Amino acid sequence: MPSDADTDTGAGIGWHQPDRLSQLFSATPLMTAFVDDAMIVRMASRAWCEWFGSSVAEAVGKHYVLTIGERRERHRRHIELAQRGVEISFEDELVDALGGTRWCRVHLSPAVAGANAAAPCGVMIVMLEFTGERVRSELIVRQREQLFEQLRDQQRNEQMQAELEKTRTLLDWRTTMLTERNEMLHLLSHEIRQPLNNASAAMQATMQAIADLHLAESTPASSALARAENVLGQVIGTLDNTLAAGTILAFGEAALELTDTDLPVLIRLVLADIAADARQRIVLELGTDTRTVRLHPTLMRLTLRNLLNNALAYSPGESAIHLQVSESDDPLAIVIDVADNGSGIPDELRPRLFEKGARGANSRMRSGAGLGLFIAHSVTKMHRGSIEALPNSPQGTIVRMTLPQGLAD
Amino acid sequence: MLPRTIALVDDDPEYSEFLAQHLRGRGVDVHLYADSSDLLAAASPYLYEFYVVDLMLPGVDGVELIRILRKRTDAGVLVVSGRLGAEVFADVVYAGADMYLMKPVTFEQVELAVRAVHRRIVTTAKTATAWRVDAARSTLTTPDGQVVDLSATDLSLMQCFLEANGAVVARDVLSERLGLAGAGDSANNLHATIYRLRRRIERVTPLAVPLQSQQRVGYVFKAPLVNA
Repeated sequence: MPSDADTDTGAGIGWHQPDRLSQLFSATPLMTAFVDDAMIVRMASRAWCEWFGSSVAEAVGKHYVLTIGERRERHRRHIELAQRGVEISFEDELVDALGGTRWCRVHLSPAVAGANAAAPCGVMIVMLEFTGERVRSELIVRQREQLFEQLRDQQRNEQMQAELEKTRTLLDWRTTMLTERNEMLHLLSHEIRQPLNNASAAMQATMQAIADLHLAESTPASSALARAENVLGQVIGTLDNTLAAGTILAFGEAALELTDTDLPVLIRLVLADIAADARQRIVLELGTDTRTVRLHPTLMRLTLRNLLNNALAYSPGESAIHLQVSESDDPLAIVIDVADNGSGIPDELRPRLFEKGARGANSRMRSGAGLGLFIAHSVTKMHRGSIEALPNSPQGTIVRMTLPQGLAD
Repeated sequence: MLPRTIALVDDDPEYSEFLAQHLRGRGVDVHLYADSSDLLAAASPYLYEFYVVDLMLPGVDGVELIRILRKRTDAGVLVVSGRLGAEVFADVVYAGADMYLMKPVTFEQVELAVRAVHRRIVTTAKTATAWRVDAARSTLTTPDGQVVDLSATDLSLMQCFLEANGAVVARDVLSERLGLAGAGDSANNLHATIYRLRRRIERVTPLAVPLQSQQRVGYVFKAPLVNA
């Protein structure tokens, strides 16, 4: 049934004639086409034809597959479904001459003439390009990935920053603690050593006063004083070791300043550090005329005192301790041996002999925190030398310290 | 050998009184100064034969005091201090002290150190007899008449000290003169050469060897030295 418009308006007459419709179709900017039930392209827009690299003149009136060419498989499968009355859509893509990809959504609408929807008279094809949308969404996905990556980096950075902050805080704390400890050590150093020094001075003066009386035998007073002096010596020794260990640990090699030192004088100073009754057990053997040696006199005095006191404590009461100084040409060095006739070093102690807190099980009558050999080891290392414990013959131990000489600073 | 006079600079009256008593008992004229400024303000602060100095002092600090003393006197300086710490030791050595004793020390130890330092100074810097270098025979004769044979390197070394005339010779100058510049070989470096030479001298004479190292600067021959 023609509508009112068809009959009333002369200008509208004939718009649905096939060639008119076909013309209209071809002029539309949409990608669209109509394929009849025999799969012949009846109408097609330029845009649709161009998608397949064809033209309206080539496509219209020919079989559909001739136009769609190589992509026929996907299209035919769908269009066959549409020819059976199914409305369907799918996506198609195209690589253009420049290598860029374009995307299209293909809508297939069965054209129904009459009541039988299951047997359409053709299929209306409309294709909507969504390349822009697709590119945008890919861009968005990429951007999101980049954003996530940046976020992860940032989180990692924040974690590292936090770790760094923690480490820095710990370091600051450690520095503060070290500083405080050193201040404590210096306080101890002065506040305790000074009175100890004075007590020792008073005691020495008293002993001298008693000696000046020229009494025939040693008096109970002088032997008591001698014992008191021994105790004082032990306290001083422990204090010196603790302070030295603290200094060594805090400053390391930076603490070292070697000077030309008169070795025989240093040894006599060390011997004077040893309690008078034990001192006579020490036999000094100077196996060299070399007197001027480069070392750190204060730390070496402490080290030698420790080695001698160790040897005295871990060997039989009356046995001799040999302090031997010799020299070596290759390497150019001074060698100091402290040899005892004790029971030797127990095997279980050997591996950690020079560690802090290592003490012999038979450390009878010994006070101290096991710092002696640790200090000896540290000080020797600071002199770029070596220290070792060798077996003595027939029994006992030789602690051998080798101090290189003639080294550049 | 003890000095005739000692300035004892220590602000601890108990200790210094006992120590002075001990040293006076050995025949030394000891002057006590509880404050370093008192010493510096005295009529003749630089005429003592020896100085025993504590580090923590009222007035001028001990290290500074040593630096001042060194500008005016070659007398022995012994530091006896309760201050521990290797950095303190280094300061003291740089300032020019001859020896450092850490408190507590016994009077015997102080006396021993004073004797050793004083003996070294008297037998080197203040000796009337010079050490003699004989270039022709390549020998060094000690003031007590002992003869040490010198290697070619030793002789160049001694000639450096002759030219320096008692001044400190820098390490690089010595190394260059001895042809040891840039020698990485520790067995043949300047320090090893000096150590070996000093060792050879010490074998023949009980005298203190005036060939002394100046911390980080160089070496000095601190005694009269002449060409034979």
